[in-house]
Amino acid sequence: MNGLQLAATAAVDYPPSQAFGDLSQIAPIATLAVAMIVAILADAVLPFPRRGPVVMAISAAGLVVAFAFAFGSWLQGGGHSAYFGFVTGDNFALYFEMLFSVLGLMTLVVSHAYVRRRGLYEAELHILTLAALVGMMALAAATSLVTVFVALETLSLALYVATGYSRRDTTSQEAAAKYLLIGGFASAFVLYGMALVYGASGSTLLPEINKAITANQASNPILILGVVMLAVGFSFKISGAPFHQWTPDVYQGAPLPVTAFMSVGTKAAAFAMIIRVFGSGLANVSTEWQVLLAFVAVLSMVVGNLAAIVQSSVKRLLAYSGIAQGGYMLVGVIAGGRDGVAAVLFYLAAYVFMNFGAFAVLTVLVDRRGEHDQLDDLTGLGYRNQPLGILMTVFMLSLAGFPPLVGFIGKFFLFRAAVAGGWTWLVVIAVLASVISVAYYLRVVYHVWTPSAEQAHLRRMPGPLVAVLASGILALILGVFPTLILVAGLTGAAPVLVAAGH
Amino acid sequence: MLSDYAPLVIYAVIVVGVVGLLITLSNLLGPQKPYKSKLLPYESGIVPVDPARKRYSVRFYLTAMLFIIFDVEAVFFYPWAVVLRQLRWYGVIEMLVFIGILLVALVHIWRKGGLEWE
Amino acid sequence: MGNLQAVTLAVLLLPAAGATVLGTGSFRLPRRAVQLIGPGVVWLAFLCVLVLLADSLSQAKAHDFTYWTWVQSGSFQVPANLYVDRLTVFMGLVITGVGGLIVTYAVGYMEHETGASYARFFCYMDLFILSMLLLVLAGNLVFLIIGWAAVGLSSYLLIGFYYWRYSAVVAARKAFVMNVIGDIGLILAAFAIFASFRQVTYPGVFASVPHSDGFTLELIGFLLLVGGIAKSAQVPLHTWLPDAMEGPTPVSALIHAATMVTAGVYLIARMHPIYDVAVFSHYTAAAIGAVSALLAGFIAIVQTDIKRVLAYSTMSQIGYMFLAVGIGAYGAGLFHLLAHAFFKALLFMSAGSVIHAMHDEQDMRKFGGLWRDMRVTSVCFLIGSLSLVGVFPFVGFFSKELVLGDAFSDPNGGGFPQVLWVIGFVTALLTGFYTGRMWWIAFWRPASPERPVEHPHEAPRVMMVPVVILTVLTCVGGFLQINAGFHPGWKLVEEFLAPAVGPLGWEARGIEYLVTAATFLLGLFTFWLAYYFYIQPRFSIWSARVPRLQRLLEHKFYFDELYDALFVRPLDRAALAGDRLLEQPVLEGTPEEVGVVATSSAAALSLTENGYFRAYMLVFLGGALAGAALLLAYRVFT
Repeated sequence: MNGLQLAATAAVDYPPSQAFGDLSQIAPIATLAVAMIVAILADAVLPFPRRGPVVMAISAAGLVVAFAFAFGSWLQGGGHSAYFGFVTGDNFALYFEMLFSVLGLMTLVVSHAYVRRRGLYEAELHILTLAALVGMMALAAATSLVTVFVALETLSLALYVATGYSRRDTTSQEAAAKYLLIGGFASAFVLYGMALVYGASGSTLLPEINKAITANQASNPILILGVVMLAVGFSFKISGAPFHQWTPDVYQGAPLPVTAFMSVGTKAAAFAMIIRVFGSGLANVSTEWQVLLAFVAVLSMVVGNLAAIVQSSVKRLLAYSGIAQGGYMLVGVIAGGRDGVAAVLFYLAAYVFMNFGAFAVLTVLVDRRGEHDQLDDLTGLGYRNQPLGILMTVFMLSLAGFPPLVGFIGKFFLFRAAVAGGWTWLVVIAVLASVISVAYYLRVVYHVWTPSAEQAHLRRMPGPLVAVLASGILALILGVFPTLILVAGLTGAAPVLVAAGH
Repeated sequence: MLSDYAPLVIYAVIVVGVVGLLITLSNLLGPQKPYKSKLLPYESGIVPVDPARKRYSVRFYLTAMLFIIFDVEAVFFYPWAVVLRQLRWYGVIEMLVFIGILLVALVHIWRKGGLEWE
Repeated sequence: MGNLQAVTLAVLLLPAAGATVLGTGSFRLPRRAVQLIGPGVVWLAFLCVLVLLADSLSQAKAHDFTYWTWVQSGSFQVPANLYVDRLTVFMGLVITGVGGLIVTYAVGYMEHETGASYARFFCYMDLFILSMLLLVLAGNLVFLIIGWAAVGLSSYLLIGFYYWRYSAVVAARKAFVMNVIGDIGLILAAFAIFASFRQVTYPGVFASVPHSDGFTLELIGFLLLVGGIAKSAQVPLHTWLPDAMEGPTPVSALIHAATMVTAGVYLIARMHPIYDVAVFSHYTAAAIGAVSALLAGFIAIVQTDIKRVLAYSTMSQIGYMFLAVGIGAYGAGLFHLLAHAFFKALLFMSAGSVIHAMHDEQDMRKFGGLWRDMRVTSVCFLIGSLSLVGVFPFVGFFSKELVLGDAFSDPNGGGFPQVLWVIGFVTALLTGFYTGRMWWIAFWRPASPERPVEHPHEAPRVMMVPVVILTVLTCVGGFLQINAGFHPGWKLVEEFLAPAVGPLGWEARGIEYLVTAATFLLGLFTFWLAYYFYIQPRFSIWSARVPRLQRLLEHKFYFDELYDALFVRPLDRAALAGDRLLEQPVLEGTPEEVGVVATSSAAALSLTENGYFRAYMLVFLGGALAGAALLLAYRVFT
């Protein structure tokens, strides 16, 4: 019996109470979707000058309410499966929904300041962000291959458009075109992979797939081909090498807030998807996907870290650093188990703050002429604006994994889980690779603290400053009190493991 | 397991075989005497005036995209109609929500001038 | 959180706050604020340590304050805990007390620095104090390592404070590298401890020691020792110390007298449950201490830079401490640590006053005549010198006699009883000689014609007060432990520390009086002898007779040259080869060749041209195929 039939027959009796219960499980996603629709209407009917602020207010309200819903459900111990197993409101989903709400709020303030400075149209950027957030949240909540794909496309399409948002800017245009083409290519891989897995298991629901696929089925070539294609498509989304080549170009071309948003958002959502699909749906063929992901992880760490060294643009540098960071997190995914998944969740939260903060610092350098993302543009930043210089240093050191910052603790959790899971050789590579990374992270720090001829103080930009400051403080606090989030990570990891039958 | 797919493979082989055979045969057997007007693209009897590969106005794409959206909407109605009795009021409400969302999109396009040609 | 727990945390937070404020506000803070905050936080921390002292005087129990769980990952758990026992309090008093005097002194010494640089100096000083306090307050190995490494870092910053001076930067780097060697030893020791005991907190580790086997403990003890000798500048990791004199003088005082170099002594005392069992490593520490004391004593004889003489004498005195804690006489070693903090800080700071007056001239052959021109400083320096030599009634007499007395009466002495004492005794004679040489040449002799300043003036009051306080402490400090020279006097220091490090394992013998008298008198004799060698050349210059010996000493037993030949030059060559063979052709060349990186300046405009795009798709497909092939290969072969 496949999933669609199941849905159709069981729906014979669908009382309102269940309809309401199901809706409450996706309350954060639904709230955001409603906010987006209202924002679209507001953008259409309001007089021109009021569109931007009103849309921003609607988005902010939606995000706050979404966060409140997710947090409330979290406090009550998490939700359960809904809509016949197509989505879920479990702790894993709630963890990401809260993370994305916070990310959305930070993106909002940075975007607001950015469009003001560049003279771009404001409202639509917020709407696109909301659309992408809906996709991201749905991806974390999806427990069926169908919902996974729909959510994946929701998030991707919104980001394709957002990448080309700076329409007069040809690099932005070209980045969007390229992202769309390669993204479509990767989506095809995912879709074929899903079709093959469906063919092998007879269901699109992850728990059903898990039941249908027993370990001795691992030799079914259809299934294996499906796993390979899924792994390729997923690796594209987390910009894992060798499916990473779009990343630097797209990151560089896209407007800064979009780059900041997608560099962390897409990655977090894609990791949620990988953990959910591989960790709970395909847990019985774990050896297969572990080999594939290990291949991607090693290449990502090596290529990302080596290529980042020679970059002169900070955006590109952070793109390659993101590739390498994705590799580290894959190590945690491969390790699996409670500690492994919790470590990935912890690192994702840490990564969101570190990386977003670093991009937000670059936003402050934006002026009417455009973005200034060369390393040389950062020269003397520490003297032109001391707090920003210190925070940028914090972010770079944290990304490099210096104690007592959060990046160090996160890496520690990841690598420890991997060693405990018997992946010592992978950890050795990861540690060596992260040693290389120190070179380019410190290069940024070096530029920030090199005195320059430019002495003019930077214009104040309250929005990004708030985001930067919040990120910096979190990077510090989580380094000293990692348990604040780690406990949440452990709670979030539980549903996936239960679903996998561990 | 794989044997379940055997009919599909046989079917695919037959399709490819027949089509390939027909094309090959018509090429081999048919007389080939090409000359200029015979090689012209067929445009329902009208003589072509300029090359077919030229750029269209971007507005065509916009219209095409709008068409696709509402076209795909229609696709959803068929399965929905089949199980509407089982879904009862819940199904009706769901579809209304769906149509409502598309309506918002239409309003947005309309207000932003997406429906105007010039 | 109990009151005491809060006070303990405050000890750390105060210097941390000071360093943060001074570091972030270096451009904006008025000079007066810097002068207040810099030493102020150290003195406040000192007050907090006094509160802890009051508590530990009333009862001997150790506190283990756990604030929160820092890391929890599977079975591995690190609590954020601080461990306060009498040893901690003792070290805390030295660090904040003597440290506070030094930082106060620096307010005057560094007055010529401009605004930002001035604040930067005090920021580093507070950072150093913070690191040192973390090192001694740490309740688990992770915090110990963090404190240990942070001490290395802040000393690097301080030594390289004049970063525009090439020699300062080189010296800072050398100190850092040597320290990192020690850090690695300590970290490996922590790994070994965790691997065998599954514990990281001190109480947990010490409780596990009796259940462990001898080899494991010897290994741990040896690795800890590597950490200790690097930080304490003992042979063979001592070469950074003299070069570290490139830093400003208060830095030298802080690093050499009060704190950093004593970290190794503290480490051995702290880990005494391990060393009590790991006998071999324990005596290795004593042997290293004795050798260092002797070698440094010899080298000090030929140095001409006044600060370098003091640096080598520090190394020699730390050697005494290692000797003492190495044979298990922890009370003696730590008492010498205290005494040394007093008189060496005094010596460095009065030398600093002289250097200050001489416009940064450090070659003591160009001084002279200071007895006449800078009488107060000269008296202070003389008291410090006599204490260093070990003359009654100064503190150095008591502490040195305690060390030598314990070494003399130690019944086993690692199988060679009294050998260590003989070395210590010879060193004491050398100490008298080189200290005398320094005193007579720099202070007593008539002014040198090369002296850069005609009429030197005394230091300002803010520098003078700490010097005088230390002079008083040097004069009276010894009476804390009268027992060292005269039985049966009280022995406050030993009794205070006994609950933390255990009492002395053997009975002192009566014959020590003779030994004490001999050491004291002969030391004084060599001090006096130096006068006839250098000022009134009644004896022909010894260096002219044995030039080879002089060259050996001037080259500091060729340690630097040896390391240069063994490590530095081969590594240089390897690095050059790596650059030529790997870096340039591979790391810089490859990315463009395989298209991983479009060189970014060009990329900014032409990043998405068609050719690239096609290549991307190709790599994408190739990657997918490679992944599939890898999986296939994996399945075939397993």
